[in-house]
Amino acid sequence: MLDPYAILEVQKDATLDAIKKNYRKLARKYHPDLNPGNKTAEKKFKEVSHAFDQVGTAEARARFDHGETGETSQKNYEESFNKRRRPSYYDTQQEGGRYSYSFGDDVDGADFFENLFSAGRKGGMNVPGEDVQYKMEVDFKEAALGAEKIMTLPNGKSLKVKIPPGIESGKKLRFKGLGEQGMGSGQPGDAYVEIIERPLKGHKRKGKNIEMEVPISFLEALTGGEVEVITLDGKILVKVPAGVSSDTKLKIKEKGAGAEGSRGDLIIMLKIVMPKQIDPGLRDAVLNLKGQYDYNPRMQ
Amino acid sequence: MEQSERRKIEEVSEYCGVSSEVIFHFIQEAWIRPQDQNIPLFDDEDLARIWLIQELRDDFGVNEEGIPIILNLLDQVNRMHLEVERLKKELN
Repeated sequence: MLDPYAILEVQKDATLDAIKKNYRKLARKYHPDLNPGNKTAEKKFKEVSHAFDQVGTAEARARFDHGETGETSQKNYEESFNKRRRPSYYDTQQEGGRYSYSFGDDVDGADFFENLFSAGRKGGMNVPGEDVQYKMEVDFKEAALGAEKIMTLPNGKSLKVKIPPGIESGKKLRFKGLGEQGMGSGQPGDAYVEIIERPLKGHKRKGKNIEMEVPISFLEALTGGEVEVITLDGKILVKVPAGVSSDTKLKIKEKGAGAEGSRGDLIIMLKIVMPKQIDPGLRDAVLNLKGQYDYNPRMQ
Repeated sequence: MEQSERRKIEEVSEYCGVSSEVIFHFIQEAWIRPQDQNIPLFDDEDLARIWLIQELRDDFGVNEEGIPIILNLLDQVNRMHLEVERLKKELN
């Protein structure tokens, strides 16, 4: 069993900071990517890494010092650090590794530092551009029947957004290649515009159908008649049957959301509304009728 | 180059001891570039690179600005090393 303190070249009573400092020094010295192809350095690096795993934190060190891992055989020890440590990155880049080959064929000495610093954080690699996300608020009618809108992007360019009829709030439209520019020969990313529908009072979308609340007076509910309703297509007259209750639904075909020819329906939901102030004459008239025509809706 | 095994992010996270969020951060920074980025699957190269980045961050104390520079240098050195080997073979 190798002594982790000896491997890390510290005394047994060294502080954690001292252990870490020496580990870093030795890891830098023996790191396989700084010693490509050097098997001795690779073995030393694994030893150093494993030693640090054993005593590099207060918990691990306490376990080790109490002998919990002291009986580990040399074989187990080898297995343990082989499992714990990765293959060297250098090895994975031989015979045409993706990362090292992503520079293309034109890297020479003169380009070296230019490649390194010109591309900023992402280096001189061929990196696809990132996707960008935008949000666009649209009116209820625009979402239901479609529209064309122009949005100004942060870079000052204009983007024509064609809103498909019947689009639902939260859906994203994709604009290929209008995201961030790629690096090197990397493809530009895509732009996504999320559609946010502004609510319209009394209206609700249920897929392609539109539910619309229409207030009627109790007299209209009683006697029926025609009421004027403002839909997305303009004013229409709707026939209200006599004797309807609140929440009675009337379906108007193909006046909902969607493209012409495949539109959903408009579902009118009647809501009986009492006058804000009840005229004494009306109250007296109803009282006169109450004795003769009263009924209990809870018993029906 | 031989196609290596592909692993899901959860497997990589467990294997390397790095959370999925941190791995996504590596992808966002373009330090790791899985071949299919929609449903990222990681091969041995990605794994070794994640290990390397973790070592740079945790063991060597390299900050976020330094990591892409070191990765870039290593990739360029590796590439040049391969080019030198290729030229040597051609000369022989």
